[in-house]
Amino acid sequence: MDEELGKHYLYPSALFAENKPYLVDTVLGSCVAVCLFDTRLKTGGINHFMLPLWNGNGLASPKFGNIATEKLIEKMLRNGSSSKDLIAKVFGGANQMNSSMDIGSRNIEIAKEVLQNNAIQIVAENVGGTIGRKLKYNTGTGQVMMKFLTKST
Amino acid sequence: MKSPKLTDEELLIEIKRRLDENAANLIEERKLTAELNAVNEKLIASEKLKSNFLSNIRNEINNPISSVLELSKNISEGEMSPEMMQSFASLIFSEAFDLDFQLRNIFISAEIEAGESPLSVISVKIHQLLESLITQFQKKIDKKGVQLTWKNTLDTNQIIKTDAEKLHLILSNLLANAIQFTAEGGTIGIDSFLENELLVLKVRDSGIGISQDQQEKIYDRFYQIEEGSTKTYGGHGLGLSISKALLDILEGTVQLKSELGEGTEFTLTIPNLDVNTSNEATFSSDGNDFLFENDDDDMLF
Repeated sequence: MDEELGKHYLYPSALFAENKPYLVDTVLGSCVAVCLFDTRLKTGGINHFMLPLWNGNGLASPKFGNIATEKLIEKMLRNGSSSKDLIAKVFGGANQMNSSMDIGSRNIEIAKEVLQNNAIQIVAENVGGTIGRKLKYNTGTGQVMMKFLTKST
Repeated sequence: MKSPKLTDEELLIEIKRRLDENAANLIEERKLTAELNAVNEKLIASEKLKSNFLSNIRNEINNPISSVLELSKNISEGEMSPEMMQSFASLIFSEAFDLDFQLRNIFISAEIEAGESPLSVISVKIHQLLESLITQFQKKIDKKGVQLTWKNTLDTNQIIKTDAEKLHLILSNLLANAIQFTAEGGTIGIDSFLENELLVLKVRDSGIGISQDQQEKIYDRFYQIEEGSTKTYGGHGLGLSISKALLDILEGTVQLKSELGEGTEFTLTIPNLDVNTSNEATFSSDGNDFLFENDDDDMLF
């Protein structure tokens, strides 16, 4: 089934949404990825952000969760989706280092907040914990294959 | 405030005590200054490496991009024969291949630095991986006019549990270096075999070699033997440091055998990694959105 799928490796701070079906790979630590899927058009998009909030200084880049998630929704709408058809799956946000910043949890929170503000339902999630994840997102079917990464030490 | 009256003797003792205290402070301060100086020197050195790196990387990225721009502009504007078109297209491919390779190095290096380069262990068909690696580099090898021989005693179905992407990038770097530092007419060899259940890979070339005193520095980031050598040989000085860091993640080892002018041989050992795919995370979903794939621990959402 993979033959006709385009492949894309999603780098941190990037987002991806095409009308053609792709198999999108990405690797998450404390980063969070939001996978949007249009149940009517059968198209999908995904982002990968590193930090929760854009503080208003510098570039409003998709490195930040609020920007990245808004931009992803925007891009899906530009590609022809209407927001009532969109569903979301949320992954990542592990707290890998014993950091008091708790970036992972804050990343998850912001993703959920933006989705809620846009009335997009979260149908599945696998977030938090302490272990990184690898995703393969089929944007043509909305299916996400997920694997945990780190071995126990 | 009442100051106590001191006898002369007591006054002298007090003065002496304060002088001693000052002397001790002075020694402490000198020590700190020396430490600061040492740190500062290190910073200056690393700053210099970084700025060298930046100018190198600019070439590594600029050159392919301007080639691709120029070539594709020609194709889109001019009328040309199909043969010409084909040769342009193949040039564009090879430039884009270089660019992709360099970018992967830069991204993974940033990942390593951020501690965000987790393992993704799968069952790797190692014969297949090597075959595709060599195919990918074949054009470069032919263009450089060097001879590559691959000695393999691995079964074609031999499986090693490791991170395929990381291993591929390590080998790409070693092979790219071998090609880069070997003159036309030289030879490059790859050996692959199993020894005590470890995968052993050797990448050998008949290139310019590395002198004894340079050998310990080659894994430093941005380090290149002589800054001037960049001009002859290109590169950004990241390849080996990344390879070493990735190899550490894969729990592998690397050994270097080389002498100036006598070629270079890297020997890698790669172990099978036992991964513990943990069930630590919690799920919240309506229950039918995910299921476990028994075969290879993938979870479907």
